[in-house]
Amino acid sequence: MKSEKLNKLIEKYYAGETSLREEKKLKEALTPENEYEKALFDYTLEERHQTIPTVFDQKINVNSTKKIRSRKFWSLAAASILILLISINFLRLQNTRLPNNGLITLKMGLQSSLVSERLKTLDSMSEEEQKAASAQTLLLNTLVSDRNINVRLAALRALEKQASKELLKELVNSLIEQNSPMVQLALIDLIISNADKVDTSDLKDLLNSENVFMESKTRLNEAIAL
Amino acid sequence: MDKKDFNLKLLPYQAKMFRFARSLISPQEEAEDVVQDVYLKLWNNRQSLRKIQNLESYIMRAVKNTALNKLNKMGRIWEELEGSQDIQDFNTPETWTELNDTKKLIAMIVDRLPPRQRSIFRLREIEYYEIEAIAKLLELDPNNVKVNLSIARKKVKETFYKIVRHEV
Repeated sequence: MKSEKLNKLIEKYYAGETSLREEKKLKEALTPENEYEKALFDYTLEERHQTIPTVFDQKINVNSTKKIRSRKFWSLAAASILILLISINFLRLQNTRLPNNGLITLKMGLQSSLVSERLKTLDSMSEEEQKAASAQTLLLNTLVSDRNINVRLAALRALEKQASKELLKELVNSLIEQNSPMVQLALIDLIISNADKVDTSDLKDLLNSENVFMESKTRLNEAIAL
Repeated sequence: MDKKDFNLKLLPYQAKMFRFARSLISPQEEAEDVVQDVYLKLWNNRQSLRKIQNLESYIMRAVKNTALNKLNKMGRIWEELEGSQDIQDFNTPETWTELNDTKKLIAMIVDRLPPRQRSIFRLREIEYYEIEAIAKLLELDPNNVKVNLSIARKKVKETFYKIVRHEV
């Protein structure tokens, strides 16, 4: 393309008047002199082919969505009972508590309808807050019932630093409630890295559960073999 | 429609949905949440999907509505965020480190365009949408789309040169 024609096309492009076909021609006709435009189109092409976040595939896993819908009632019932048991257990086992206002802030943050708020709340927790029994109950609750995978993973991260024997038992119990393979695997990794505090028979029970994903069972089998 | 059909039908649009949501709402987690919500809504209405002639525009409209509702809940309004970007906003350590990477710098400038211009710019340059399709999706007049597209294209270029020439 002659440079005069090219310049006219560029002018038309910046006026928002080019058709898609002309824009395609423009991209092909650019010379090294059009350094900026070349970089711009490289950027748009890169964006177009950019892979979406890893968690994304899991989040829109329709299979698990359907599973949730059809088992909704029983899942909810099981989750409620589990949360209740976890709460009672924790209040009994540990006496550390968060000051009331800290707990309320945490509770409100975790109940926010915005994912970013819930993530922010979890990320800003201090180690002391993570240790408190009342906070751990909330974190376990989030791990079991939050509908966003990133939030559930963040709750797990907040819990992992304080993995006591009692907490690990609750984590093992919560595994079958997870409808996301990714969270299940993260949970299993945590459990495996604290294998000395876990009862092997509990792990074997998981292998027989139909709510544990294939990938998770493979990982569990490897851990038990070791 | 079973889940396999549903997946086959909708999964090809997931990247497009995510990119569009990302241009309407930030941070990224909120955009992911928008797409997840839309998927659930579509799954719940899967029986009526067969009747839809232009599935892509239907899906993208759903993404737009869901994202704008979410913005509303966050106390932000898409239309009101119009207005020129203050060039001083780019005088940050983040910008300095991107100076050597032209593409990253452009990405940063596009991200900071006013929302409407950013959505129009991205729908055209990344999704290759016709002006009329953008107008229909964003419920704007086609001429308005052209004007905003022109402003956005010029603004990205001007800002780019201002930063490169250390005018900020």
